[in-house]
Amino acid sequence: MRCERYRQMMSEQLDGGLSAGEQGKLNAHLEECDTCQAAWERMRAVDQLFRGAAMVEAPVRLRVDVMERLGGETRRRNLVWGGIGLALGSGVVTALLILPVLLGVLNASGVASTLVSGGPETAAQLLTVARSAGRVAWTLLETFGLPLVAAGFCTMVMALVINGIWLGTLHRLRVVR
Amino acid sequence: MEDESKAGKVKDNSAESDEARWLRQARNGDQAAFGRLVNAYQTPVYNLAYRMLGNGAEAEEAAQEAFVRAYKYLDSYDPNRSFKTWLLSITSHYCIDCIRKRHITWLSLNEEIAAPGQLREQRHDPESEVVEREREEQIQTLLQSLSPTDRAAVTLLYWYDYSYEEIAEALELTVSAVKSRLYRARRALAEEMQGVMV
Repeated sequence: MRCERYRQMMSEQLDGGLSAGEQGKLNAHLEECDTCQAAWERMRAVDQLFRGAAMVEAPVRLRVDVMERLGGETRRRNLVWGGIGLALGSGVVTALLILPVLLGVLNASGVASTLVSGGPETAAQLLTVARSAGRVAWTLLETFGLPLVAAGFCTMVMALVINGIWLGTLHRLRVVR
Repeated sequence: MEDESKAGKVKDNSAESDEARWLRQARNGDQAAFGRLVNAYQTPVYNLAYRMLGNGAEAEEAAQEAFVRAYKYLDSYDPNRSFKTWLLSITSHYCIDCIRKRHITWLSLNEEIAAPGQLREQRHDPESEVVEREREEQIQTLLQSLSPTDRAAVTLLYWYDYSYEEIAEALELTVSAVKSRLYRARRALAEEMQGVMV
C-alpha cells in the first residue's frame, strides 16, 4: 500500500473509523516510515488543537433581531395581500355603482333586448350594436348626465378614502419598523 | 429558557418532544414557537457561521438569515430528519455562498478575531484566558485557509461531533467525499500549522 493511502487512513483513525485490522496495518507502517510518522504527528497536533475548542456564544440580541425580521416579513406579506384585497374591493364597489346605471341605459336604448333575442351574428349586426352603443353614450350624456356625475363623484371619494387608509397603513408600518 | 439555550448537543426525550411541538406550532404560523427554536439553536447556528465566516458581524447576519430562511421553508422540512442538521445545513450553505461572493473585501485578520463573541466555556484565570484566546486565534487563522466546504466539514466534525453520515447529509455530499475532504483539510491544516508555528 502506498503512503498516500496510509495518510488517508490516519484521518479516519483520528475519528475512530478504522477497524482493528486496519489500525494494525497503519501502526506497522508508521513504525517503518519516518515520513508518515512525521505526518501522523502533525495531524494529531491539529486534531488536539481543534478537539475541545469551545463554541462561540450567540450575541444576546440575535433572537430579538430574528423575531423582528420575521415580524417585518409577515407585515410585508399582509400588506401585499391587503393591497390586493383593497384593489379588488374597490373594483367591485365601483362595478356595483355603475352596473345598475349601465343596465338601465342599455334597457332604455333597446340594446339589451337586441342582445338577448339573438345576439350579433353578422358584421352588419355588430355594426348596428356599435351604432347603438354610440347612441347609448350620447343618450347617457344627455339624459343621465347628473346621475353619472354623482356616481363618478362617489367613486372618486371612495378611491380617496381607500387611498388614505392605504397611505396611513404604509406610514404606520414605516414608523413601527 | 436557560436550558433551551444550551441545546448545542442532542437533547433528551422530553426536550425532543418540546422541539416537535414547537416545530408543529411554528409550521402553523406560530412565531413565538419558532422563537423558542431560535433560542434553542442560536449558539450552534452562530458558532457555525462564525467558524466559517471568521468575523462576528457577518456571522450574526448569516445566523439571522439562516433562521429566517428556515422559517420561510419550514414546510419543506422533513420531520423524520434531524431539525438541527437541517438548520445547520441551511447555515453552512448560506455561509458557503457568502464566502464565494466575497470579492476583495478582506478584513484585517486582527479585526476579525478581535470580536468573536463570547466563548462558551469562560475561564476566569487571566493566564488561561490568554492561552485560550491565542488558541482561538490560531484555530480561526487555520480555518480561513480551507475552502468553504472543507471548512464546513471540519466545523461540523469538531464542534458538533457529527458523524461522516451527518456531515454528508448537512452538506449534501457522499460519505466518501466527506472522508476525502476531511483528509485533505487535515493535511492542509497540518501544513498551515507548521507554517504558522515556524
